[in-house]
Amino acid sequence: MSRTEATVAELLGLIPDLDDLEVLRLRIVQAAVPDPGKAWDSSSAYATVDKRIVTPEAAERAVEEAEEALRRYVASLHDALRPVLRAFFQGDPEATARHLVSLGEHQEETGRLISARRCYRAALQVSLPLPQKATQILALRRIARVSLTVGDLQEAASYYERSAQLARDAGDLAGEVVARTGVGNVRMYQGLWPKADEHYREALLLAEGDGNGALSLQRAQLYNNLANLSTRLQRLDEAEGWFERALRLWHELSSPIDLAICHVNHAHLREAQGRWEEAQRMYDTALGLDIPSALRSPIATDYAEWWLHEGHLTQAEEWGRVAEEHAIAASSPYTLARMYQGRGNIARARGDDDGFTFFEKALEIARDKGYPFLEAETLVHYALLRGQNGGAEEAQAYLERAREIFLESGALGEVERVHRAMREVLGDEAVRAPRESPPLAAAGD
Amino acid sequence: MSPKVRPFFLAALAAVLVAFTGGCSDLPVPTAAAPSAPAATETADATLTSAASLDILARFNQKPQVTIAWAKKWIGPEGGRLAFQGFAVDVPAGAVSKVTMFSIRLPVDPKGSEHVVAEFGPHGSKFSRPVTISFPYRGTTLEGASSPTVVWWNNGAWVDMGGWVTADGARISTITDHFSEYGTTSARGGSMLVSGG
Repeated sequence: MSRTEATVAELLGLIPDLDDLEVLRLRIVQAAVPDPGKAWDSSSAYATVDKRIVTPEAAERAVEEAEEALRRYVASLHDALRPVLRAFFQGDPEATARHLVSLGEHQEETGRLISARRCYRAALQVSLPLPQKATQILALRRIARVSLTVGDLQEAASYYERSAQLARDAGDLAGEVVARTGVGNVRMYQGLWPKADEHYREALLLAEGDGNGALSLQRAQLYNNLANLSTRLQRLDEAEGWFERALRLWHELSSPIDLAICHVNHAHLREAQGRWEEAQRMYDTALGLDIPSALRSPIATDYAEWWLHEGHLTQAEEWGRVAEEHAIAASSPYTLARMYQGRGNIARARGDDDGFTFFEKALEIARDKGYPFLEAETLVHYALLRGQNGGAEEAQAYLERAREIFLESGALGEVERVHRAMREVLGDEAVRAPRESPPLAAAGD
Repeated sequence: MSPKVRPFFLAALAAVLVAFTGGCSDLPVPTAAAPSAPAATETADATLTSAASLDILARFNQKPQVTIAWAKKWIGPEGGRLAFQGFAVDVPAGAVSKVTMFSIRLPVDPKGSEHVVAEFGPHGSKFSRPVTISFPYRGTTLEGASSPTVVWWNNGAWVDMGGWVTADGARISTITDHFSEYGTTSARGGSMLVSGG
């Protein structure tokens, strides 16, 4: 008997669990639409995929798109691999290691973060015996960057530290500044803000000590980060000062990605000041820049939350869809999962059953791809939705798991957030959390 | 509970002291929890928040018609509850050692009354056991926010107290061992976007 539709769960169960078919799975999930014939049943945590359907035409289109995307990826992967082999046979280990780093960067750009880290580790192995340290410093830093993105925060800090130390020993000022900035970034994600402050200022001192202005980019990045940090610490006047310095430099330098980050963080400052209209203009400016989908997606997620704050749920949903479109275009499972998290929040605000689906999607990606930090964040948001729908027991289990993950990763600020969520879910009998550490609304890439 | 978390808003040196009216000592007459007389003509309190500093606070989706600015109630060592316009204070047994007048005051000026903010009295009192204070949540801009929280006004800064949404989704509550001006806001920080590294 022929069928006119299938549920996402049926199709995902049908597609073998091969890494090569990951793109197809994402396309199938994207192609799914809510089944109006079925109502949400809150009794089962995973029932939501049964409430979304895919038509045969949509499934066929998903296969074609996935095949084309995979074809492009495989071609570019082999293009990037050839120089590695050539350099090896030419007896040039330095170039071999450098090309392996490039291969990893290629993987990173396509959202294959774990594969990228494998390439960087291979580059590190090749570079270890070399007298020139530049590639080793870079490989260490790249491993750290990926580790930060996937939420392996201790590892990220450790590799950035090693890179910084090696750069210092090798007299590589730029390398040291970048690595110390990286350590600061890790501390931000951990919620260890005074430590982040310390590392950023240390890096800035080094960068400003360079009299010839060669490190302008690094300085501007540090101004961005110090501004962001000051906003999160509610040192709003100080944040203004850092943003002014950053923007002055960004007018001279060309880095749309960093400029967009600056505008978005500036928007967060304006929101903290209650200057919502100005924040909106900054989101618009950031989104008007030439930036990759991997960055456009989280900005769209933030902008969606801006609309949510203003009470415009339709616009919030529209921007949620923009975030989704770019997350998929970025081929980045991480960005996709972050976006689903944001859409889950919008749906929660609407009291919409799709919230369950979105959070499930985010969790599924986070678990499959090994993003524990993202998984924990999603669990916190999801627990609130569960709690609101009478699922206090599930909510408590989610929050306990989230707390476990945050504790393992050293994200003490996030542990505070979990305790707050526990109070929400459990009401007056809530856990009494220690309040020493500042809360961190950290997330993402 | 000692609210020693982050300052929310290092704001407003030039205070426009019109957000609330009246003072704790102006309320000598014991009443029931029902609203008492309008307080529009009473003296402004020097500790009150500035109009500018209110911007960070959640707003009512539909501005409530507040014609009566405050309510008060005597509560003794056995504990009790005072509720007013969606705001409430729950005093557990043993929080106070003698009969004490509790009050909730709301802003009456056009700007202040848009926001979810109240002054709980007796101002500056410390309690032996933490009391629970609650605020309207449903029907405010806080509804659906990812990190709703309660903040208190501490010498020019809003300080985060944390909070939880009640099971019926109508209110957000927190516990405190002292009284001051309190409001609600969202601790949303946005995506963490860092440069370099």
